[in-house]
Amino acid sequence: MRLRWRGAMLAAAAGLCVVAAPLAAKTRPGKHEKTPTGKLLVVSMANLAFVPATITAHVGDRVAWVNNDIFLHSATTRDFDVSLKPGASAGVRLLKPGVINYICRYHPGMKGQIVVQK
Amino acid sequence: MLKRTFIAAVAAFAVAGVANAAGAPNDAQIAHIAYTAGVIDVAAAKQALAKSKNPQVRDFAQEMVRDHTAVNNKALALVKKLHVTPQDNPTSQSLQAAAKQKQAELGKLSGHAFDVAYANNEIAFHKTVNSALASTLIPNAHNPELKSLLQTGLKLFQEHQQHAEQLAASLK
Repeated sequence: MRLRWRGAMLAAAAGLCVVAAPLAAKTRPGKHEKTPTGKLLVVSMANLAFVPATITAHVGDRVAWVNNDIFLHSATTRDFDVSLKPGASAGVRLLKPGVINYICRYHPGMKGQIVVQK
Repeated sequence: MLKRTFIAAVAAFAVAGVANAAGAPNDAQIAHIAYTAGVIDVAAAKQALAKSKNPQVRDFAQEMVRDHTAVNNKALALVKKLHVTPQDNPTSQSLQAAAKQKQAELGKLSGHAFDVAYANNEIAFHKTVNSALASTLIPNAHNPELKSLLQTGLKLFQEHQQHAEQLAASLK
């Protein structure tokens, strides 16, 4: 599955940045793999939930959301909005430490959290 | 008054009246009821899209069309796979009759009054269907795949109820 990296302007404002080129990635929720520019952490959108709901990452890592559900979902904060159709995936890069709480703006009960460490 | 009547009517049939002569709905009836609930909400959303100019209301209505169509498409694929023919029943008929009445009522409204009435009806409708799913439809479903789809439906309806409540609050 190819990942789209998007929302560069908005993500930059939140201390996130976006890899310009699409990147092939394994899509194992909760797993991460080493890449030349940090780890890739994959969060699945399945059965109206983020799985895992909370992940811990480090500055320089990337987070990819994969929509394995039958519904349109998003990973949304005030600073970025990744909207994904069923089967689609996209992600952001984490550039500064902090806690990022996000929701699906279509299904506000879906909540996720990224703890970004130095 | 009409809203209370609608809620009472749907609740009465969807929760209690769903039982057939044998005491509980069968899978074919359950599938029909769940599918009908989705169709009703899509129709309500299409009415909202035709009448409302409020961006939040329109976004919500589009979400209803998108989500319920997705679930119902999955339901259709499932009943085909299981060789089950959804069976019309008094509960489905009652839901449709109540929805038709509500649609006529909402059709007389416009502007903010319509938006508020639509949002409030979405809350009421989803609450009612959630109750029916949790207390009657899911417990009585025999096929594991149907039960699983109903559980997804319940989770979806709960999300929609929450979203409808947020929408209604924003319209005050």
